[in-house]
Amino acid sequence: MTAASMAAAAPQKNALLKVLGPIHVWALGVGIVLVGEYMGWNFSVGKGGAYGSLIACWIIGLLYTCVAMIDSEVTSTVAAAGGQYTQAKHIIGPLMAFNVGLYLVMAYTMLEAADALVVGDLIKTVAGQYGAEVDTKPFVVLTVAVLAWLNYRGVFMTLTVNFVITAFAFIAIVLLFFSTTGLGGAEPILRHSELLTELPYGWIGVVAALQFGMWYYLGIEGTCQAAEEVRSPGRSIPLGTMGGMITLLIAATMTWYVCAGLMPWEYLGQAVTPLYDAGRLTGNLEMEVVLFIGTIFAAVASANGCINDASRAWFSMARDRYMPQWFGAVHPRYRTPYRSILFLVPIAVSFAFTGLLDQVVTFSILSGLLGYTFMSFNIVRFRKLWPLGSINRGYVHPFHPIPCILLGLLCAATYFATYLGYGASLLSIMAFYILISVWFVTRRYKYVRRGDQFTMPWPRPKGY
Amino acid sequence: MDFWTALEYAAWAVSIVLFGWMLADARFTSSQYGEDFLLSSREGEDE
Repeated sequence: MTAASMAAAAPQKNALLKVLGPIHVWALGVGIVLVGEYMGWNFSVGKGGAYGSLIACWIIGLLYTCVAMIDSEVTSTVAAAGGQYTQAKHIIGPLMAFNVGLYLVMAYTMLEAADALVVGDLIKTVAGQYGAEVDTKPFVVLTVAVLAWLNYRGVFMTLTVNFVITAFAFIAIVLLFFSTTGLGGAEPILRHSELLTELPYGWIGVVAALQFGMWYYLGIEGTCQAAEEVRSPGRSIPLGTMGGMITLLIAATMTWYVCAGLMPWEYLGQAVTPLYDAGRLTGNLEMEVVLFIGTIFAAVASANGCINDASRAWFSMARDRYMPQWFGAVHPRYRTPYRSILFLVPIAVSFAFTGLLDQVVTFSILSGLLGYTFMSFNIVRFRKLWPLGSINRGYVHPFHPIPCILLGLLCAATYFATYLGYGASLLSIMAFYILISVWFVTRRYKYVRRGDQFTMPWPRPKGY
Repeated sequence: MDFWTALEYAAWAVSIVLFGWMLADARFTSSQYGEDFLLSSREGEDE
């Protein structure tokens, strides 16, 4: 084929590739979250005791079930990269969209940094067991480099890899559950009757535990970032998201049950890798190895999904010129938002190099929480402007408006819980988003494609 | 040089190679295609 004929055959438009199915959506959502089962959730035990953590697990599970239902309905209609950013743009307005887009980019980039830090720390721990001392930095950078490269080269392989390693990490939890409870034929070793206590700090401890209860599920809403790359968004997004939420509810409950039956709450509440510790307490070397690999895989899957989601959110904002348009490029061969992927790499590495894991994760959690708060009123406006029957929905969530009212109330309770533990962080993050909003209104909004950004073939909203 | 030190150097080396490859490919892509084409993706449009 000559150069002239190649040029003539080249497509006139460049776009993300529609190759994903429900398992990729599941792998994206569960992959981002499952690391929270391997570590982090147990800080809720330190705040409210073992029972307090279980209550937080179920209450926050309710919050995320509302998130998953609401998100599935809106995303099955707004099938575009950017997820909640695109929803906000169509349903609320530009300032909300800008803020939601930033919540997404910050939440996922910070979580990616925290995941890479965890991989580095795990390698350091292994080296320590052999009497060696290693620097975590090269392994943090390597984690980000390999995953960024994978994301750069194509979304199908990225999320297929995520499916395999996330499935392994989930199966490791199930195996641990069966091996410790005696359901797998072995002798049961759980000692709930000896280890479970009353609520050590009363009900205020349970409220404080809500903040860390988010670790069980934080990031499941990331499934909708894949909307522009799935073959059938109306089917795949609700199926992948709701399937992911069910997986997480099972994994969270199993994790709590096993860990609370093996470790006293005083230890569990400050353990760094509680599931790996549980694997070691079984006295079974194979189980210990499986849980170690599961911990590494969970952290890697989470970082991988975060790179995917943060880059899609940044790419979508750039495409509408909320950010410089240069970032809105799609790679003609790999069909990925390659400039956005590359741009966010040094930011994630910089956050990881600070080593401030708790602060980085708190910023990520709060950005996520702001996004959930947005969803609670977004769905009310969505149903009001485009009532059922006015547009084609791939999924309609039941019992409206109970889920959105519940979501709003649970978000308020979680803000209060966060204020109890991280008041200064909460206020500084609020100040950051207010200042950046002022910048957007005064300096950036003039560049936004005001007419072109509304792309959905919807009828005129009711009342307009 | 012990195993762990060698592993640290290997991690730096692989990272540099991967980042270098991505930067080179991004630069090459920008030189081979026009900006209008690279930025032609539109939300909500099927291929």
